[in-house]
Amino acid sequence: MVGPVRWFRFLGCAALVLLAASAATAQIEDQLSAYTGDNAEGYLSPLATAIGAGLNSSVWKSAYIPLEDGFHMSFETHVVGLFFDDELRTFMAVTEEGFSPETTAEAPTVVGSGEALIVTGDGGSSFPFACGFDVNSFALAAPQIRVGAFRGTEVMFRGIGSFELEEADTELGRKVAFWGLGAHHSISQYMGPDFPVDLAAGVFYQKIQLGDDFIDASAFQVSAQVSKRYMKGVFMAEPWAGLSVDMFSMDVTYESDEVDIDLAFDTDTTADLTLGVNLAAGFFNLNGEYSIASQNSFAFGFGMGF
Amino acid sequence: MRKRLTLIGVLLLLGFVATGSDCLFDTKVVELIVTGETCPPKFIQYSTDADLDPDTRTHRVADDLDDILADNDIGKTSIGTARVISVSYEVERIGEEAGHDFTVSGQVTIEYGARRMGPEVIVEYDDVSLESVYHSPEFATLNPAGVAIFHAAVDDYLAGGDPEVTFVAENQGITPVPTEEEPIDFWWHACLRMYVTINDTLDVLDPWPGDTGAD
Repeated sequence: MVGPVRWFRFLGCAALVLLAASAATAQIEDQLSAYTGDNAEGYLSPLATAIGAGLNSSVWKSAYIPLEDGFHMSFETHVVGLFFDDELRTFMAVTEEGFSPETTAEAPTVVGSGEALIVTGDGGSSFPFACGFDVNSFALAAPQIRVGAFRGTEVMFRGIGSFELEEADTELGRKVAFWGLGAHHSISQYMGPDFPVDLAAGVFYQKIQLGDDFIDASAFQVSAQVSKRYMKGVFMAEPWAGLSVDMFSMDVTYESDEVDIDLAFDTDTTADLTLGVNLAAGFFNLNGEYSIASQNSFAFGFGMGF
Repeated sequence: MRKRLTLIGVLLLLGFVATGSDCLFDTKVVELIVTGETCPPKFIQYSTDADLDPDTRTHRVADDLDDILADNDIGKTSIGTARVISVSYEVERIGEEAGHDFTVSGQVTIEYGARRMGPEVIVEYDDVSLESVYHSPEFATLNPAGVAIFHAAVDDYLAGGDPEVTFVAENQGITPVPTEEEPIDFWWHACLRMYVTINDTLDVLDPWPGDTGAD
């Protein structure tokens, strides 16, 4: 079992990613303030894609759940990463009200080019489309505790809870929250002792908040996994595959010209196929996986359990 | 065996935290955009006949631009450029003596004395109902010659100067014609919506940066 100090480092690492995201929110909000409505949604859509993929990856990574009732606990940390496709770097933006003539242009999204796009208009005017932050990849670290098993069922808590940052942009608020909760149940226990693989199904709900209202995202996943364990002494290898239906929604609130703008990204439901492998030696385990979905992602992690 | 595994685990943890703090961020050069408004002082207009006297207002460019920069924690030296996006105007007070609406046509000219530029028309409006723009901003047609004068003053401000420009509102074509009993009496102002570009270097979350741009 990991000692409290070492576990705190797990949390610190996960918090680091959220702090990084939180630090960037002030700049993102500044750039957003030039936009309203559709432009703002187009500008932020890669961020919604990234957070959605990050939350819905690397949830249940094995179908094995101990069948004998008893206390099992596992401390794990996963890093979900993804690379932004080229088509996510631009969106078709339209100049805002008041600028003449109305002009449509291929402008950077939040992950796009670091150069703003300026278009010229009537009467010596010009309109700026905000720059992106020239981002190639995204990562979300998720510490989690998995506890079981009772009648082939385990539960998992993921995240770092909710807290307020001392060093934060006060206009956006200091709040940072990330938590998730779900349950996982063995299906193969009903198939008889000779069933050759483990089968399980699970549900998981997660929430992320940055700033008091700036980003409020939630994800829900229903999934099924199949896996097979190969043991040799204290070593174990376990390839696995999973299918899931992922739901994700995100609300963004920011200020433009002293008016609050609320963006509600459409709830996105996608299917996800994941292939992965777990390796363990004694109490320690390593894992890696690749998810094929609307936004492909990869994840790796390690954990300790008993 | 158990001791060795524990040591490996701790090393993995420390390595993860250590590499995380260094590798999560990548330095990016970005051209940030900040927007804001600069609003010259209001024009006060009153007349009991068809001739509405021109109203002159002097505007210190720094007054509003300093606020835009301060609101966004930006120093003047980090600005790339500042330009006009659009202009809007609105009536903020209408006298009740006339008891009816007026329509007005006219223009606003700009002059930048320090550079001997202007006067040139910067904004024109035609047959505008006062009540239709009462606390309801309307976008106006810009004139490039006038906008160029304003941009020259802004450039001088960014270069460290403290320029002042003079705006003159010249209204004509008032309908119906005002009288002693039914004078035209209103206050109005125009606002220039502007953007400012700022070249900045930021550490951005990008754990696996590619060659998408400048480092």
